[in-house]
Amino acid sequence: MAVNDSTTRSRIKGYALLALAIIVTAVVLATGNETPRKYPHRKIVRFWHRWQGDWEKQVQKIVDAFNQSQTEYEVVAVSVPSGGSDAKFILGVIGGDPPDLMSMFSGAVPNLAANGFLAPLDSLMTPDEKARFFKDSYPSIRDIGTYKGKCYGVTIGADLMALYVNVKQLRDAGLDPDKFPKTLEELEDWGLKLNQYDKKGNLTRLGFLLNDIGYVSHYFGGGFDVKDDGRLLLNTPQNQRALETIVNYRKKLGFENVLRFQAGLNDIEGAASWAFMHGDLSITYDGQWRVEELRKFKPDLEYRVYPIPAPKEGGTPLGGLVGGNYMIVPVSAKQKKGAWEFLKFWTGLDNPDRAATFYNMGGWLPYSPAVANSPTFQKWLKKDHQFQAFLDILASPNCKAPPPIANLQFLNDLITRAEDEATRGDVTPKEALQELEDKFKEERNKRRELGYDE
Amino acid sequence: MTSDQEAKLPRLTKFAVYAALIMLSIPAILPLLWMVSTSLKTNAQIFGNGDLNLKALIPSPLETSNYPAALQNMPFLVYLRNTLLLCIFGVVGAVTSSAVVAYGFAKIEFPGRNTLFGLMIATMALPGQVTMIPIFSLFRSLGWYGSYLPLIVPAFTASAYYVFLLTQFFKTIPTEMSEAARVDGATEWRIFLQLIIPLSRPALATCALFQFIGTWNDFLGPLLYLNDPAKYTLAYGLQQFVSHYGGFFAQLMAAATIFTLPIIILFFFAQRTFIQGISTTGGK
Repeated sequence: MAVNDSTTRSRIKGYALLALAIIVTAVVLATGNETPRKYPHRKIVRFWHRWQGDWEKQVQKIVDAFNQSQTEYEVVAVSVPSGGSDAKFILGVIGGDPPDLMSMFSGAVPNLAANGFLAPLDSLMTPDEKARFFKDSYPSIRDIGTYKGKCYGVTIGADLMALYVNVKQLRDAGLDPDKFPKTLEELEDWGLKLNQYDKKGNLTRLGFLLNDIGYVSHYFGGGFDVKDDGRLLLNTPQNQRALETIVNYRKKLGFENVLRFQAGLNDIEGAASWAFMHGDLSITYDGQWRVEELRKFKPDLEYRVYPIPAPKEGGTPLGGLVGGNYMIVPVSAKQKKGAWEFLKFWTGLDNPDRAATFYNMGGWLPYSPAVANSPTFQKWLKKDHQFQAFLDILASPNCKAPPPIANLQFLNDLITRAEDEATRGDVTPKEALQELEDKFKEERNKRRELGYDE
Repeated sequence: MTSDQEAKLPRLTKFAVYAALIMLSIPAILPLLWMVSTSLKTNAQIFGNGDLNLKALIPSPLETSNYPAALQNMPFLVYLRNTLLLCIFGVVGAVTSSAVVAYGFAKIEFPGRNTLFGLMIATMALPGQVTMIPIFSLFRSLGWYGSYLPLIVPAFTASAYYVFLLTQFFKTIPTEMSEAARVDGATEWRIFLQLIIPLSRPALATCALFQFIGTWNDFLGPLLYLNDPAKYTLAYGLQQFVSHYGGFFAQLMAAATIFTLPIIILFFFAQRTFIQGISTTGGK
């Protein structure tokens, strides 16, 4: 037995050594493969963003330009998948190890600010920068990042929508692209003329589709808003009219037919694949970043960009709802000053003309007329003159920011649901909006009971 | 059904049983077939025919370029190396530590054993979201944030689920065998290593396979703890691929096929042991 015991002991020793070897190897491998820093002696500014593919490359160019421009900081950019970016950010802040700067979708800013996750950017600005920022910014762009009077987010890429028009398809259908409809009703007629179907009656080309009540309602003098005094502008006659117009137009096309057609579309942002490029959509509304994509990937396509025409009666032209990527600084960021320096560099608060190049790279809307009017931006605009339509909308008083409320995401979900239910025919537009308002009030009451002030 | 029982069945009954099994397997196989089929088509083939029939599943012509294209669009080998590293350590850590703990619960009498076992089982009811923040804070204060350690070390602290499975299995091994070894002078370690472990291969293989698949598919762990693209895993990389190349269905499905293939191969090799393990541990 003594021999057996010694064999067992040596085996146990062997297993223990193996386990130790595994742990040591794990530790070595776990710390071995790291991307080396270019400027290891500088203060690191950790920047998380949600751009991928071609856009990630553009972002890296801006980061590189900043790193080359000075000697104190090194910005290290990390692309985070959109799907889990908010969870990663929140956990980083709660766990005490957040990035120094993050680009987040604009709808999340009020909620993160209300819950104390964000540092007010005003506190990082000098008095001169603060005065310039609040005075120079486009009002709608500034308002998105503002919560209870403080600035928590600054855009480096605001988004707006306008109509992209395929000139050839219009001409083939006997329509003059230079005499573009002045009213929404005319545009709907054009859309029906441009539709194409196969033998089974399935749509093969969509002339025009009116949807997105959150956006379109601004052309009807409406929009979904929650005022500072608590008044709700949700189930308003203007919004009802906008939703009725969407529903009636969808009925003409056939709900299922449109759904089937859209499911088969090959659409990717930031790449050479967009249904409009392939000719599947004759007139479609999309974001301003498509101008740059068309220039890069489909330079031969003849197209125009027009603001969506307002309805004949009671319409408000050049309406819109701004969204996009907003830069935020976590309250527990270690390098807030470095983050602000990079933010100034990118937005152009300190040098609008230099920053114009960055906005042009991704086809992003500038934060201020100072950037839009800079020589570099104007030069680019001559080349991509279709972009002007977006600048016209941005400068319009009818271009608005979403309401700065902590439960904005909840409201957005309700808006999407109301449109979906109404277009499916489950409820009338009036009922859908009434349900939306009731549910929002219910949620607001619940939040107030829990101690939230809105 | 054992092979003896199978041999006794009349040919017609056997045919009916197999036909029913094949029919039942179709809903599980169809998405897999669609994935592979789509990965071998052009986008025009994918969107050109909206009909759902078997003929539409056969790519014609065969488009194999989606695979190299998908591989070019992400650093596949780097992600594969990182994923395999986590899988190997995860499997070794989870299986060895869980087996040791399970042996204690199944074969060693000590005061409070059942209470401790109950407490351990109770931890399985805790949703991951509840423990996510304290665990994150712990790893950060240990200085492990940004490294693989938060993804590897927990595997070495035993998993409640595997401990439960293995305890159930170890209990099926007659106590008389351990007693006889003890009478012969064997220590607990020797009984564990030379008697229990060799008899428990199916159960251990089941735990290993579960752990491998869990680590292979884990997206949240790498998302929360890793900040360096050089350390990303396949599941993380695939999510990024979806974000950017989601519209390139053929390439996306090629990437998904590459991602799924190792798991399928592993299952084919280990299926007999795996099924045996599942049926004997009560995990079914």
